[in-house]
Amino acid sequence: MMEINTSPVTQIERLGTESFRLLKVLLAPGQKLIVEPGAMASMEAQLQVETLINQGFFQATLLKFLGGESFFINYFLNPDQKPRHVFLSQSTPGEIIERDLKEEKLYVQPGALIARTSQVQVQVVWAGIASWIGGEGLFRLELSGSGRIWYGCYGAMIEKEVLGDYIVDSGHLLSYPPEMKLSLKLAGSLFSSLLTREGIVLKLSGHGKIQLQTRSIKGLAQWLNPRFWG
Amino acid sequence: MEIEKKYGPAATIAICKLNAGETLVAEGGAFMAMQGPVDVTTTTRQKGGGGIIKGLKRIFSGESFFLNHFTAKNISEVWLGTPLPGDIMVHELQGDRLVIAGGGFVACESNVQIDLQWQGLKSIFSGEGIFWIKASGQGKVIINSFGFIYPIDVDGEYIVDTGHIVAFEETLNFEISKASKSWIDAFLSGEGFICRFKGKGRVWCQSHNPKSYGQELTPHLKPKQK
Amino acid sequence: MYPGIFVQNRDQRKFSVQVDFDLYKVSFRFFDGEKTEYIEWAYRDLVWEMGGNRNSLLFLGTKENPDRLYFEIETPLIQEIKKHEGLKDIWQEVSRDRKKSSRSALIWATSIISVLTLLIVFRGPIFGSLGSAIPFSWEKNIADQVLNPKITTEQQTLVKKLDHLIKKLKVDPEWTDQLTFHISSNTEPNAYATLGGHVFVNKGLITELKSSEQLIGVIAHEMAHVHRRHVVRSLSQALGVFSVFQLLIGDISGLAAILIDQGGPLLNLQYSRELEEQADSDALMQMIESQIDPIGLSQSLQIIRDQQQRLISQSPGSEALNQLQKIEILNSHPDIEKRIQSLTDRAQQLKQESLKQGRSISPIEFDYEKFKNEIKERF
Repeated sequence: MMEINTSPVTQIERLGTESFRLLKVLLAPGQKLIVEPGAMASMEAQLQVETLINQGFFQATLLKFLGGESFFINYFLNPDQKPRHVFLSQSTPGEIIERDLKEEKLYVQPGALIARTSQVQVQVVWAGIASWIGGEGLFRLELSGSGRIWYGCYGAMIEKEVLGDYIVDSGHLLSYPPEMKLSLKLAGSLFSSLLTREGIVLKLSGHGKIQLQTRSIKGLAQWLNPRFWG
Repeated sequence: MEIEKKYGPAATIAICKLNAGETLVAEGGAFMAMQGPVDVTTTTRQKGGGGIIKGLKRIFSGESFFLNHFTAKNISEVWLGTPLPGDIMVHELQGDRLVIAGGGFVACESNVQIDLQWQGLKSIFSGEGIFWIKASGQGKVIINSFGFIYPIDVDGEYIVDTGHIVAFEETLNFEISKASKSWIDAFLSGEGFICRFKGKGRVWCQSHNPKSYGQELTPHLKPKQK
Repeated sequence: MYPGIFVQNRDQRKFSVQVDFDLYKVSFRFFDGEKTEYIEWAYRDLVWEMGGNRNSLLFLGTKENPDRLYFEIETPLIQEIKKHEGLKDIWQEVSRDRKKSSRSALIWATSIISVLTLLIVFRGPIFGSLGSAIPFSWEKNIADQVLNPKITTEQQTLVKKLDHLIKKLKVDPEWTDQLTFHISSNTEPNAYATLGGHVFVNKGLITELKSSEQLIGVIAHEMAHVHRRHVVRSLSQALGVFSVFQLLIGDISGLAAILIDQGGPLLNLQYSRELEEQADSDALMQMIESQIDPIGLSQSLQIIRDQQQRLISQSPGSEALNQLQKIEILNSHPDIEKRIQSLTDRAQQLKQESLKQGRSISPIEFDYEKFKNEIKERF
């Protein structure tokens, strides 16, 4: 029976630039890492990968359809006697952020999660209606526990210490701590904004450190759409 | 021909310095700018045959239908850009062959033959196209990637996600297999498939996967209004 | 002389060489940049294996030496090898391997096609059931938070009137408990069911239709969608099909974009034909069992269709076409005429059967005209 070493992974090499970040993670013998499907770019063949349903069938379904995450999750294990590497990346060009969680909670942009150590839980939680209308989705990804997490952002990452109120465009919000409240700022009536998705921005209130990303997928789509189909 | 890479690894271009009489063969769309007396012909064929059928086959591999031949009458420069933001690699062939995956081919010297190679049925699963490009002969080949390129020297086995393969030496064999143990997992996980390289040789990987990026973007794109 | 590639093991450098196949040995020369080397390997010392990309390379070497010589396995090479007695077992194995690979290709092709067919044929149940796994209370919670607009007391009275009308449909109380009706001031002749049992009836629909039976027809259709959890299932189905195709073909971004439209997906879902037909059948059954004239459904469709055609002729531009697309009840049916005809026929059939069984159809006791006018005023 192999002893599973659950302490944070020891060696990470950050390759590339902040436009295209790649992580080379060296797993010590016996070490385990939970990785999102699709995050693996390449790896040594000695590593074992087990694909399991992400925290139970029901949570997994929620994570897939509502949280933007995957139904399945990959457990990477190094059964070998030597350290073995895996290269981790994300779907959008940008920076990868590494963070230590110490018995705390963090809300992260759905789909941004790349990897986590095994004592960190991921849950889909109700984010409130403001979040949905703001385009952030009805549900939030809540990361909790202790360990290390890696999540990617689209573009570069800007950290901001908020005291009071701060307005962000949906699509640029990457992560925020649970002490902060999310609410809506509307230009018109609820229904008109609902159907047109215009005049909506998110307001964060409270005291905490939030993270923004410099680019947004919706922004790109908005730019592309009129250019498609002539 | 001297090839210089500039502005890497995110927005790399290739500056090709041609001597009199040298020809650069580049895919349609790669051309950025040039300086000096250069003749340009556009054909569907490569030196030594090809034609329309090969051009059509090229589309299957993600390349463009047309090839541009830049022939320098005197010392000149041709600047080539890439369709995807990322890196460029220049590989010198010495009679051996290089397999280039999904659309990575940019240009090559005229002594290099570009062929389309049927990768077998398994490549349908790879999602990277069923024809990959086989470059052979003597000379330089210019290849581009999405993200930056990192080489791995394989001796035994190595696993690469199919969307992250740029190119590999012919001495490597590969198997497309599933990332997990069961077939159901593979179909439903959205993970796609992985490529298990066996043998001894070098594989070049890219840091990002154009397919995942596209998938991320797709739900936000509006369908064609009828 | 035959061309091959020599790989020097210590630095993995490659050299293009011309190889001689003699009576009992292979020999070749290579130039490593400084000097020319001559190598000889006797056949009896040869170790060989097939490998490389697509197993299309033949590697030769000796036990003592880690350097390798390799060739592409092609017919001319096989001819060359055949000539030499000492290489007979190489030739036999190589040609056997080539035959095997074409057979396995055939097996692969057949299995892929059968799996694909199964998945496509059964995708509905597979992915739809995943959607139904979400409990209704979840759905209702979500939707309640979203869809409770503020309305005046006058408007509230009218909604109550609508509820009263709908109660003429004698459905399972369990059904109606799950439903909340709203009237919206939208002038499109449309009604739609969304998550959590919320059904929206547009002002435009009420004012366009002419009788209670017609309105009941449309509402019964929407109620069926809710009861059968079509809303949730449709969403999951759309996502499911997308994933399947994507894995196997690699790129269906256009199809995906259509399936997962961002514009208010919860409010305006496109159902598949089967789901539409199911809702139609349910509506007819509900009506006949409540002794309401089932012709109402096809009549309402006709009215809506007529209105659409008027719109198109009046403003032949994308505006009208956009509106057309949004009419959920007319969507996903390539042939609206056929549907109207089929519903009319079935309604007649059901009425006749019902009469035979001694049950009569009675007109609904409800002043539709008055209701319509009040709606026109207050919304």
